[in-house]
Amino acid sequence: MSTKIILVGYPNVGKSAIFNRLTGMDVISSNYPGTTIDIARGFLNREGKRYELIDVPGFYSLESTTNKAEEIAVELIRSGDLILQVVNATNLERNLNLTLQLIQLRKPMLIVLNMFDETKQKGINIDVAKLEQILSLPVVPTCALTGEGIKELVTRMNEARVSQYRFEDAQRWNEIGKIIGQVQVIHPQHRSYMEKLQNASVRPVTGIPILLVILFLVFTLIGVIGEGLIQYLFDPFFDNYWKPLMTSFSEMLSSHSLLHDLLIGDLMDGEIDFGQSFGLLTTGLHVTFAAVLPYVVAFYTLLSILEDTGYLPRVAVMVDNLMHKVGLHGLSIIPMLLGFGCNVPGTMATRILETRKEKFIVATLIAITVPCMAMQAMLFGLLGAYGVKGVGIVFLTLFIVWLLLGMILKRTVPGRSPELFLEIPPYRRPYFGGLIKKTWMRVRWFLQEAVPFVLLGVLIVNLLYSLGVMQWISSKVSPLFTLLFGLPGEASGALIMGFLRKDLAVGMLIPLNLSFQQLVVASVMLSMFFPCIATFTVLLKELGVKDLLKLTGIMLLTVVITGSLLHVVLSLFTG
Amino acid sequence: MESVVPINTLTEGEKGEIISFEGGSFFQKKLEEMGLRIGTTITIVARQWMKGPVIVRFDHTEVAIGFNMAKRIMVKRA
Repeated sequence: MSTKIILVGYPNVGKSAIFNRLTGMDVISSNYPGTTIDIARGFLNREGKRYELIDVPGFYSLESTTNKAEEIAVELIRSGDLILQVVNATNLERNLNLTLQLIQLRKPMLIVLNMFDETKQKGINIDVAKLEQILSLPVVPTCALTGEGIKELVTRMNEARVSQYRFEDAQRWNEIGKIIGQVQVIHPQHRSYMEKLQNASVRPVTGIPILLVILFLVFTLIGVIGEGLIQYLFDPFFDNYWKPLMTSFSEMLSSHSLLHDLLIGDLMDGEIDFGQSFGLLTTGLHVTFAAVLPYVVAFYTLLSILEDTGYLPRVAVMVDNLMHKVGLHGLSIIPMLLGFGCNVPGTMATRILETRKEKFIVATLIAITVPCMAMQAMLFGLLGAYGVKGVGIVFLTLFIVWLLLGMILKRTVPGRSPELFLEIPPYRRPYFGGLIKKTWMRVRWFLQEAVPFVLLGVLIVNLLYSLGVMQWISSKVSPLFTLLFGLPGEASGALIMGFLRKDLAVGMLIPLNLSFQQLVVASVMLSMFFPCIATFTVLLKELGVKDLLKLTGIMLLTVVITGSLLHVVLSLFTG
Repeated sequence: MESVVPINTLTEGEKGEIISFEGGSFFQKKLEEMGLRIGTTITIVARQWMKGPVIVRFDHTEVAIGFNMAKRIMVKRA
């Protein structure tokens, strides 16, 4: 049995970076049974011994009983063999509060004094040997960014011992004061350049323009990386290798068998067209790998950079005001941002929100008004030809609905909206290895979760077509669709498809030859109508059946109203 | 007599020493866990428009505090 090491620490101490430094590539993030908390597990091998490392989500106290994450942490610590507390060396006094609480658990322990390099810059001098002596625990200074101290940490892992330090818990802060007095000396410093930058990026007058610039940069970079991957990697692969392979395969199957329809789909002019053939192995795979995946990779890369540099909490502060208008607080920007990559992690991220009201509002807003990468890629595909105008109207409409719906939900959903109370870390250069690992884990997750659903979606729709169900539905809703939305009845097929995979739904709109106005209305409705089936499943798990039904009702109402209004408004403009 | 004011009335750059918390023990505990205690000296880093959160700095840590919480933390101007 491998030794279980539990990694513990406050948020923003570089715990994840230490975790990544110590573990190999086989890191898994798994759900702690019976809860909504995810734990990362990895392995470290050294001198024939195998250690299992468990990264507990950062928390602030072992004593509060309100936070599920903290309860889990305590359980994990009790079940572990060894506690590794990662401490932010620049904040020693504050971190010692947790150290003393952990010492009382009487488990073998080791302190990782991380971000040690920053102490020099900040004029902080820590007598590590003295600290070791007082706490009777091994203390290893490290810098996860550069890797300094990691080797020493691994070597000294088995020196972890139960601390002999005794103190009165009621006098905890006094004890901390005493320790600090003996161990730390601070030389006051002038305001550094970094501090000025940090201040500027969060004070509204300078902060908001900076935020807009960064948003623009991020948006552009995602486009560049995404398109680059498509142009130089995926499209060439599909055109030069996959297409000939599938064409031969297609010739092997008899051309109107069910198998051919399902796997290859329709041939356009006798050729496979990845956009319209609709076979499992043609459109299904092409959409996932050559349309969506490149953007998912690009998105997650940029997100990881934003996270690891420490910019996101500052964004949360600046948007807090705006968020309050829709009954949320600043942090909810994070699940919504995630939703732009894929609604599934966005919805799951609502776990970081405190109240049920917030969770419901954010999940609803994401499902209805936040278009994921897949949807965005296809939006550009449909409306790109019309330039900024088309896409602009769609995004603007979505934003207006976000605002209005949010304001309505704020007043109608029972519950309270909590206050922001968030630590803001200093800006740091991200640890490149950690970035890669993080992005890779997310992309791998997406592949494992996305591909099955795409294939499932294509399968179901093909079946529905073969059985004539789609055509029947189209004919029934046609008059309603034309009246309210100005769309042909066949567009309903796209909406149904939208439930399974949004991007594929767009493929169904292309042959309908819709006008600009119709395209805009259809795109907005498609974006808002039912999150894809993957998101739907997650929503079921996170919200429960009752709330999910409420959400569905809200969504249907919103889609119909928005579609009709948009149709009317656009008609007025294009006359 | 030194004036005792809530944190959210201080301007950017001003310092204050925490004197008291207007709230139950739960409120106090929450702040203490973050490192904000009676006697801690804080500096205002940033204020947002209207009733936005205020960012304070103490001991090499920066924390954002929502408006309704900030107005319940009383400091003595330092």
